[in-house]
This record gives sequence, C-alpha cells and structure tokens, in this order.
Amino acid sequence: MTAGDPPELRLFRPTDAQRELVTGARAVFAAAVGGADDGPRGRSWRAIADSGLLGALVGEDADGLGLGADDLALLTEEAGHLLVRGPLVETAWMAVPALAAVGAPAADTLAAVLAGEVLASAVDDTLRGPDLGAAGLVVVPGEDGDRLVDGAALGPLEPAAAADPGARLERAPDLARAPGAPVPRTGVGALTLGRLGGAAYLLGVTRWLLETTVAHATARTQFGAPIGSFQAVRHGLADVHVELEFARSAVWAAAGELEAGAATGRTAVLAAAVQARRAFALADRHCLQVHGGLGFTWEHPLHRHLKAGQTVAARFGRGRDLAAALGDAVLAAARSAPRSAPPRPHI
Amino acid sequence: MTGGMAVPIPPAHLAFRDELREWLARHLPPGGLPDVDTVDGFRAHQAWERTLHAAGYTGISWPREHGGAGGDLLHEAVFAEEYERARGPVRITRPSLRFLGPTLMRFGTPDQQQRWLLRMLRAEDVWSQGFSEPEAGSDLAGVRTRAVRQGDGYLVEGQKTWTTYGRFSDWMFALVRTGAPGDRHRGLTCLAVDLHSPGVEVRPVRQVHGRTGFAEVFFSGVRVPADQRIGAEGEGWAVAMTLLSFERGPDAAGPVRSEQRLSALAADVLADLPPDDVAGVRRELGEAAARVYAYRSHTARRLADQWSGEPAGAESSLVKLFSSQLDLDLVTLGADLFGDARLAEGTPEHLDLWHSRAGRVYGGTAEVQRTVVADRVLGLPR
Repeated sequence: MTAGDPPELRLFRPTDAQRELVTGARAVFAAAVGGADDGPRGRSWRAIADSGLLGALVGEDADGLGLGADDLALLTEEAGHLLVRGPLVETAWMAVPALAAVGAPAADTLAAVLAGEVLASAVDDTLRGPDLGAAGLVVVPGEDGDRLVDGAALGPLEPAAAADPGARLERAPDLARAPGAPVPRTGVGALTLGRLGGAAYLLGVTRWLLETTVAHATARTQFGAPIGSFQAVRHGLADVHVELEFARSAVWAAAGELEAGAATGRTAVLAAAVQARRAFALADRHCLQVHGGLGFTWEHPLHRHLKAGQTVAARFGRGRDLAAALGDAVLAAARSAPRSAPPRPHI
Repeated sequence: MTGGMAVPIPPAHLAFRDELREWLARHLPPGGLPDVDTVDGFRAHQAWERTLHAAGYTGISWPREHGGAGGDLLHEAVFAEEYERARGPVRITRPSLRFLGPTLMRFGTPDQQQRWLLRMLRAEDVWSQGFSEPEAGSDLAGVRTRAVRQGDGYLVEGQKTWTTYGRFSDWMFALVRTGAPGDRHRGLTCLAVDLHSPGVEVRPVRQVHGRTGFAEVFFSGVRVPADQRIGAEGEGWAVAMTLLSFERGPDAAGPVRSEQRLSALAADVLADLPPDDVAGVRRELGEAAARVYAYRSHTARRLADQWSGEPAGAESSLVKLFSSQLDLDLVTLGADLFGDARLAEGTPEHLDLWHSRAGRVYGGTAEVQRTVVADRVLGLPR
C-alpha cells in the first residue's frame, strides 16, 4: 500500500441527495430509540426494518434501496450517534449482502430479513454477536470464505461479557463447527464490510461524545468561568475534533474504494477502522475527563455512549490486531519496493 | 439512488496528469540539483523554475495574464502530488506560488502586478514573506517594524525574522506598522521591500539541523517608494489574513511526503532491524499507515469541497495539527527503533527529524491551531 502503483486520486463529497437521505434516516432512528429498548422482536427494530434501511446495499429488484457503501456509512454514523441497538451493522452491512451474493436460493430468506420477519446477525472471531438467540441466520466470516448458519444450528448460546450492557451480545462457543452454507465471494467479504460499518457507527458515537462534552464545557462554570474557556479543556476537545474529522474522511474514502471495487479496499477499511478507533479512544478519555465527577454517575447518559463505543471498538478485530495487519501490508509493500530516503525538507 | 459521494475527475485533468508524468520522467534532473542551501545550488533552483515555467508547469492555477497556466486547483493538486511522488527539486517559489502571488493578484495595482508577478513566477526575483519578528511570532498583531511616511515613500526601521530564503531573496512582502505603537491589528500596512536597498542587512540563521534556509532581516532607515505599498495604508491586517488563507489551501503534496516517510521507515525496518524484532513493529507501522491513509483521504475530501466552491474556513488548522503530529510520530519512531546514530548530522533522517519537529511550530504553532479549532469550529467559550 505504500509501494507499487501510486494510489488513485479519488475525490468525494456528500451530495444533497445524501444529506436528505441522512435526514430521513435520522428521523427513523430517532423514533426507533424513542422508547425503552424493547429487544430484537420489539417495535424499535420493526420500525427500522419497515424503513427499508436494512436493504440499503441490495438492488431495488430485490426490494433493497440500491445504495452504496458510502450512503450506508452516512446512515450508520447517525445510528451510532443515536445509539441504535440491535444487529444493524450485522444485518445491513453483512447478512444482507451475503444473502444477495447467494442469489436465488436465498431470495426468500433475504425478503424475510428485509421485512423484519427473520432476524439476522453476525459474529466476529470472538464468536459473539447481538441477539444470536433470536436470530434466524448468522453470518460467520472466515479466512476461506464466509458462511451462513441457520439460527437453529448455532449450538448452545451463553451470555457474553461486554463493556456495553445494551449491546445484547451472546456467544456461540460451538459455532466454528456448525454446518453452514458457503457464501460465494463477490467482494471484500463480510468481515471487512462489518468493520467498515462498525467504524461508521463509531464515528457517530464519537460525534455524540464530542457534542455533549462541548455543551457541558460551555454550560459548566467553575472559578467564575465556563470550563470550556480553559485552555487545557479546549485543546483536548480540539484534538478530539481533529481525529474525528480525519476518521470520517478515512471511512468515506474506504467506502468509496469498496464502491469502486478497488484492489486496496480491504486495507483501506483496516485503515479507516483503526483511525475510527483512535478518534473514539481519544474522545473516551477527554470527554469523560471534562465531565468530571458527573461523568461517573449512572444518571448521566455519557457512560452509555462510552460503553457502546468500547464494545464497538473491540468488535470485528481489536484495534491492535487491525493495526498489525495493516503493518504487515506496509512491510509487504516495502519488500517489493526499492529502498528510499525520507522526503527532503521543502524549505 | 443518491449518485454517491464520488466526484469524477474530468478526462482533461487525467490527460494533464499523464503528460506531466511523462514530462517529469524526461526532465527531472537525474540525481537532483545541487544543495539549495549554497549559492550555486540556489541559482540552479532558480534556473529549474524557469524550466518549469517554459513547460507550463508553474503558476498552474495562475491566470495566463500573469504568466500562469490558467488551470484550476485540481490541476494544482495533480501537479503537487505527481511532482512530490517523483521527488522533484525543492520549490524555492513555494511562498510566491501559494500565497504571495495570489495576494498580489487580489490587492496589488495593475502596475505592481505587471512589474512583479511574471518575474516572481520565473524566479527572476525571489520573494520572501516578512511577517514574523522577534516579538511577533504567534502573535502577529504585535508587529513592531515601523514605516513612517516621508514624501512619496516610507522610511522603514525594524527587524524581521524566520524569513524563508532570506539569504537569497530579492524582495520581501513585509507587514509593518504605520499606525501608533500598541495599535495591534489596526495601523498595519503591507510593503514590498527591495532587499537590495541601502539600509537592509540580511543575516542567515543557522538552524538546529545546521542549514540556513531562514534569515533575520534588519532595516535601518530603508526607503520604500509609496508605489510599493500593497493595499491601502492601514489595510495590512486584511491583506495579511487573506495571504494566510491562501497559505492554508489544501496541499496534495503533504500526504505523499508522509507516505514517503513511512515507506522509508518500513524499508529501514526490513533492512536494519534484527529479523526477530520486525514483528514487534508491525502494530506501530500499521497505526501510522492508518493515519497516513486518513491524511490522504482528508486531503481528497477538502479538495473536493474547495473544487465545489466551499470556502476553506478553519479546515487548514485541522490539517496542520493532524499532519504535523503524524510526521513527528514517524520520525520519533525511527529514532526510537534505530537509536541516535540515525540522528547524526548530515543524514537525511537527521534533517527530516528536525524539519518534522519544526512542523509543530512554523505556519502557526500547534497551540494556536488548537485555539482556532476551539474558537471557530467547536464554538467553545473564550
């Protein structure tokens, strides 16, 4: 990724149509999270399924929305901002494209998932996934290809420990041995798609943390001044904003690479996922700190987003593992390139 | 359904890129030019600028009437990226191209534009920026160099510092005080000072890496004709702010440089670390690669925004903060992995380390940039 052909210059920018799409989706998500979390079969999830958003990545001929990964990234950021629960990333980014790749034999299942009649989920290499007990099918990503496992064939389930109690994660310890239908390889695979979806969700979580903390730092007065006027506070939050904006750029660029079918799509998603985790980790630290003692109370909503972010950041690969995989790509590129010097100062 | 985010690059720009690649392959001086920090080297770089101009590859987005190629900012970006990738010689016209020239186009009189712009573009006259002073670094409104009106000109007294290429410059775009001392950003004026005038003394500043790309410039009773004033008297702050906004446009060469820094480091890891130690560096290289990717992506996003006519705003502060920290972390990782032998004077890594560290200071310190983000983007109370 740092040698060989120069990376393609790809310009990107959200369109007016995309902004409208986001506004519409935001209303759906806001309505869905309006009440108490009512679980995988509840009204909230139903409302999301009814909106059609789960079928974003499949064509209109299959009752999907025919959207691209960049569209879905924008929508998923809103879901993270509003803390939408349930297997949203697992369904829209992983199960639905996998079912579409299977084609005709899975057409009925796909229709049922899009209609919200069958719940889909997915696991990562921790064999955890949201709402596994209620799922009719589960995507199991694998090195040698992805599998679709029937909900009845998951084997025993156990509650899974997670930072976020609202993530509804369960673990299927025997899943690796469960029989499943192979998914034909048509793109980057479910794990990479889930990673990008998770990174987009994490952008929304991080944005909420920053907005909430800026509001707090503006309202909260100590020593006769708003704490947001103190340089130590302002500079920490400025750093969070910088990391978040660059993470968003990376997520959008990686989505564009997937759309274009670029050979570098997988490493692009690794990079976006690492940068999104980096931005969240900085927000996790600074935003809690700026809230002072208030941030440690159960009544304040801050901890819900902090915990949600921690769980999303550990999903589809811990940051350190993704970074190491990206490091391998850097070393592989360096092996095939002539040795070079750092750039000369430009002054 | 939404058309997606991708902004297609027009075929004409792709053709421009292909021609440029070919031209660079044919014309870049093999082995580079002599050191720009020497008299002969500097002259060679001046000659190179004329070669670029003859080929239509400088002032790419400058209007043709001023000697430019009449392109747009996407042409500029394509050129910056390709030129950097090909490791073309350092551009001694960088300040002129990016902000001095465009500011003259905005505020200069037709006579001034005719007199200076083409010669500036062809490096027949080398221009430097004269804003910083010993007592006015981050706090630019603290400028003390005085210009007193006398007849049809000004008499200038004072001192400028950190003047890029000051040693070899012919002209300075100077910010001076024409109003009362302590008037802060009111009472400032911009003057073009001929550095060959009597009363000008230029002292090269030797920097920590041993080079003298900067100078201190002293003015003792230097006479500047009034027709060398840029903009109105007292309008200096507005001119300076416009200049800085040009300085902060997207620079497509930046991510390429960070990529080169990372590639060089990865090659060093493979060549010079004991094989058993390589695995221990994967994660750090990967984290850096993620940030380089984010830097490249963000540059493309900003480019698309500006190409669509969106004003730059405070965006450049974000870029400065992100990229300077990334570069600093890369050179620091190199020093950590390979020890201080790498930092001996004269190595490319030594130069890169100190230059990258300076990146947290020049063009506005990291602290000032964070304050800009806190004020103008986050809207935090002051």
